[in-house]
This record gives sequence, C-alpha cells and structure tokens, in this order.
Amino acid sequence: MEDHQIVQLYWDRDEAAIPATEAKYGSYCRAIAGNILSDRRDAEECVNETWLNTWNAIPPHRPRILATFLGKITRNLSFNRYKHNRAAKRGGGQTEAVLDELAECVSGAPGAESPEHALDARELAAEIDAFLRGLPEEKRIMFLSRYWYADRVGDIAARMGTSEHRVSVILSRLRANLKGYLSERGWEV
Amino acid sequence: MTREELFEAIGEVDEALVEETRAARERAEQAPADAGAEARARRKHRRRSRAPVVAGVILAACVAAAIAIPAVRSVLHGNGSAGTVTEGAVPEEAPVVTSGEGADAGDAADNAAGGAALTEAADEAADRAADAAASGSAEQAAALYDAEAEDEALAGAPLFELNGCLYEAADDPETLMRFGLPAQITADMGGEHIAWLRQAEGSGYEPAVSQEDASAELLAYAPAPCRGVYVLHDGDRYLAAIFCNFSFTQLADTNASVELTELFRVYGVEGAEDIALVCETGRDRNEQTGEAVTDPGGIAFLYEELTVRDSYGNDDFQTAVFGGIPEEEQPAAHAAFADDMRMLRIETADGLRFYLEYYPSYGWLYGQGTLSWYWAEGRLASWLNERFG
Repeated sequence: MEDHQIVQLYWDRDEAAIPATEAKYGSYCRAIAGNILSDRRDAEECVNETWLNTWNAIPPHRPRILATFLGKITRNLSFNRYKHNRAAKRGGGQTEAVLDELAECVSGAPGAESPEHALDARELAAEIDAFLRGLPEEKRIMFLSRYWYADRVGDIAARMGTSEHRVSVILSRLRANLKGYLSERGWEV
Repeated sequence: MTREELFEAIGEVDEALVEETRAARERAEQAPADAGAEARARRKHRRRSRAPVVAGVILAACVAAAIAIPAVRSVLHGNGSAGTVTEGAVPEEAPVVTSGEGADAGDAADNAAGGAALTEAADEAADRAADAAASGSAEQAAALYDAEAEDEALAGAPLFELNGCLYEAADDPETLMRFGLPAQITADMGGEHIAWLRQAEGSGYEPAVSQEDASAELLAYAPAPCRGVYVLHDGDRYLAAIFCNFSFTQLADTNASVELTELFRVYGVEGAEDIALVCETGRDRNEQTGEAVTDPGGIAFLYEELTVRDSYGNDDFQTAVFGGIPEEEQPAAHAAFADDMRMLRIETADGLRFYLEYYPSYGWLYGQGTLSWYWAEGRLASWLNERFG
C-alpha cells in the first residue's frame, strides 16, 4: 500500500490504518527501537505506542514522508524509555555508546538538561541541518545512521560496503567537525 | 548542552535528510551485496585521493569476495574495465603474494584502496577544519566545511594498472615532492617507451591497442627507472605516474599479504645500500619531523629487520589487535589505533620516497604499498622507538 493511501486511512479514521502501517513499517520501527533499547519487550512496547501516537497525530498532521514521521515517533518514545530505564539502572542497546560518542561534542553533564532545553532543540536542529547539508552524501548517511538511527558501526560499514575502521574514523572526525561548527556559531558545547 | 540534548536535537533534523538515510538503509537491507557494490560504484565517480592507501580496516562481513574484487576494480579504474596495461611493459614479475586462510566475505582491498584513500584525505580535510574552528577562524572553518572543498580535498588523479601495480598520475609540486620527484615533470625525464594509454570513461586510463588509438604514452622515469614511478605524457602535459599499491586482482582473498621485500623492489631497492635515509614525517607525508636515520649501520639494520618480517593479511591483523575487544568498545579502539599512527618515510639512493605506517603502542607496521601488516616486535620495535621517539 502506498504511503498516501495509509495516511488517508488515518484521516478517514479507518482502523485498517494501523495494521497497514505495521505491515509496511513494523520492521523499520522495531529496528530503530531495538537499536536504542536492548530489551525486546521495551522495544516492542515502543513500537506499539508508535501506532497509537500516530493514530492520535493523524489528523491533523499529514506527514510528507510517512517513514520518517513514524521513525521519529519511535525514536523519541524509545529514547524516553531509555532515559527512564537508565534512571532505574536498566540496560540500553547501542544508546549508551552513541551518547558517549556524542559526549565528545558537548561538555554538559550527562542527564542534566539546560534551562532553555525546549527552545534550543529546534534551533540546534536547524544548525545541525546546515552542518549535515554541507557534508558529502556518504558521510551524512553515516552520521545519521549512527546518531539518528543508532545503528551499530559494524552494520553501517556492512551496509555501505566499507570497513568498520573507516566508519569509526569518519564518525570521529565528524563529531569533531560538528563540535567546531556549533562552537563557531555561538553554541556552548 | 548535554549529550542527551544533542541526541534529541539530531532527532529533529530535516526529515528529507533522514529519508535519504532511510532509503540507503533499505536499499542495503534489500540487496546487501548490491548495496556494497553500489556504495563502491558511487565512490568510483569520485576522483581518487592522490594519497596511496592508508591502513587499518576491519573486514565488512557481508560482501562476497567474488563481488568485492570486480567492484574494487571498477572503483579504482572508474569505468568498470580492467584498465590493465601490459603491452610493451617492463617485464617485471608480479610480486609474490601470500594467500592467507579465511577468504571471508570482506573487502580489505576495496576498503584500503578505495575507502581508506578517501579516509586519509577526508581525515586531513577534517583535521584542518577542526583546527581552523578551534583557532577561531570562522571563515576558514566555514570554507573547510564546504562540501565542494572537501570533495576537492578528496580529488585524486587518474589511475591505471600496469603489471599488477596500480598507479596514479600527478603533476602538482606537493604530491611530486612527497614521492621524491622534482616539482615539475618535463619531457627530458621521459625514458624508454613502456605502453600506450587512452582516457578511460570517467577518469583514469586504460590500455590502448596501438599508438593510433592512444591519447597518452607511458615512459620510464629516466632519472630513476623502476616500477615506483613512470612518466605519463598526455597531450602537452607530462605527469608522474606514481605507484600506489599492488593490484587487488592478485589479492585473491581478504587475508592476502605481500612481503616488504616486494615493496622495496618496486623502488629499485635490492639492498640497504640502495636506501639513503629513513625519517619520520607528518601524517600528510610532507615535512620531515625530527632526525633522519642516515648512518649505513642503522639503515642496514632497518632493512634487514623489515625484509625478514612476516606479512599479515587484514583478517589476521584485525583478529590480533581487535579480536578480543567487546563490540561496543570497537569504535573507540579503532579510533585510538588510528591516532597512534606515525608516518615513516624511506628515501632511496635515487631520491624516490615511499612510506610505512608505524603504530608504536601496538607494535605494528603497515605498508602503504603492500596493504599488509608487519609485527614489529623485539629488536625492531626497540630500534624504532629509540630512533623515532
């Protein structure tokens, strides 16, 4: 089923929207949740919550790219669950490794939020957008595979037909570049 | 800003960028082998770095060698053709290649030649960008973050293959100097005829059937005839054709390796007396750092030690160095390994230069021309550490 047809099911409040979404994007969302959360049950719960959240979000939303819309919901739900689990001293998937890498770009204490958190996230995302658009496609895909999708370095390497070492080194350089880029633009990193 | 905030902000980037990545993931998951080849094919349209290949790869486990090798060749030669020049060539024998065990699906050759060449140039570009940003030069940093500028940094010279060796052509003074050549290649440096070439589709050269079919001629480098460098006469231009590494067609499996003796022979080095000096350089292989080793005794020791080293293929090397490290610690381990690298330059009596990478904290050497690893234990490690700090 085409994405626009699935979206129309939501708008028509046709419950067939959810199984249609599950059939097409279930594996995709499970992969995202599984990357962030090591517990399979937690990941499955986040995926199920994704369908519910999507049902509640469409309408009024009419996503331009359904896959990314769903993926973002799953990512956010999964990361929230990760933070909850971390507080309860339960394990995560790749997330801790990903966060440790991103820690190279920032100086704030883990777990603490800046006072202007809600506002800065959007502005910061816009800056990161511009940074990513300046990258060659391959590097942009590597960066987002690791830090949006939380894919394992080995999986990224295999998928892109290159070596883990190369991916690791490129990601390391990209983190340094991002830190410098944000610093130059007045962000306190 | 915290790492969690950064992670969340990354989650808010433009959906079009996320979709681009999703599509790439999907293509790879639907056809893993094709995706690997597709990635390499995308790289073939990039102009190659001038730098010869750089070390240190972990095998990608899911690409069959049978697919990797042809794809590697298509990347390197830019048009999917072999581009192998054999006619009229100096009748040198192909190097002895040791085939190791474990021909797993992996593409160390492709990664090293294609990917790592990009990595080195990309690393250099990223280093300069990071340094510029840290020094507060906003304009410089902005320029260095420019995608076109980075692509330019990755730009390479045309490649071709001759008798089992891969070459790149260069005429810029910086590259020429790096390999011990004059700042400009001129007609009088061209010696005996080696082969006729023509432009390949995209970039690079391929063999020409005859002079009538040719757009370029390969000549021996008269000041130092050897396989390490030739003169490429293309139209009214004279370029140096510089040895990169042994052709991957001869590395039939991903654990193949080549003895350092073969690398020395490429540059006409048959004994220690053919070496003028050994020194350390910066990672960019430009400026010498520290004292060079010029005493005959020291050079003889190093030559003797290097030429008796067993060579290791990438599989064995990766197992030895990274095999016992948990998966989640692998990225940091690889980055630490890469950061440990020291560049050693070997300069021949004829002035030609080639390079080895030394990883002192790990005790490994890597031949940029052999794409193979060498365990530098015992006396050799002590000597290297003593001479190069």
